[in-house]
Amino acid sequence: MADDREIDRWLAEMAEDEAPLSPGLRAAILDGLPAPQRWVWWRPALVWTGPMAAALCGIWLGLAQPALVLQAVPGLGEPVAVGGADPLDEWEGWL
Amino acid sequence: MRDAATEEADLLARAVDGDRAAAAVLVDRLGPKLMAFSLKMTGGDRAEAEEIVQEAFLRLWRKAPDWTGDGPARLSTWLGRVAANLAVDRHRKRGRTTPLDEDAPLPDPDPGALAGLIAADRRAAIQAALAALPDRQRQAVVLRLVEGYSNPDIAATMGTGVEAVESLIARGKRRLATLLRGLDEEERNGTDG
Repeated sequence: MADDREIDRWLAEMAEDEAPLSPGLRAAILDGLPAPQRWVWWRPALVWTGPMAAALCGIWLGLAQPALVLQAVPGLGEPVAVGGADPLDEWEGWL
Repeated sequence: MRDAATEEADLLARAVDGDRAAAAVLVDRLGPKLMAFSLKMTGGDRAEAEEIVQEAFLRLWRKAPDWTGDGPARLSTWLGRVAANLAVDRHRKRGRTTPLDEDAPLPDPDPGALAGLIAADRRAAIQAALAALPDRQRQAVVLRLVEGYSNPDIAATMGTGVEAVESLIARGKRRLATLLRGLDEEERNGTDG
């Protein structure tokens, strides 16, 4: 009858077991290998192209059509209207 | 002489560079042991074990560009851990739809088949007995007593506590002993009769 230690020993021996892969499985594993990525010089440049183009467009627009740009900036499109007394008037006697 | 870890890391690096022969060497070297481990974890379910092995290798290919050959982990260890996690996850997902009472009485193994196995090959018999264990008990027993994982490692892999792991292993071993004792008796009866 198998005692506890025998069972432990049999189980430990199973660590070295091997089971062959079927040809189909082996082929499927190898087919899963991704194609190697070749380095191409323009790929990193591609990343910067979008932001650079946007920045250049912004600069061109700012220089060519400043009114259009300033119109969209709050508070700069028209002169600031100041109504009522100058707050410093109240301090005139003191200053 | 180069050690196995360095050699495996070199093969992997060549494999991701498109060297299919290196990939084949790696698969032939690591695959059979991983397959045997997956079969033990799944209780001999070959289709499921094959899916686990394939998925583990696919993850290895994805991981390959970041693999550092000078690290302490060997590819075989890494693959084993991935396969263990996959086996446990699959069981967990299956368990959500078919809950299993681990303390329920064991279904009777086919006496004729198992008695024949024990006479022919002790190892086949213990594999059959392992396959007859409830999934979680089998996984804990395989990870601890076959693969030599520590109990905290097993607990992390199985998403449970260390005490639960100890209990699973103890119950698993008791059931294994019972199964093997039953097989021995059947073998004796078969020889006597």
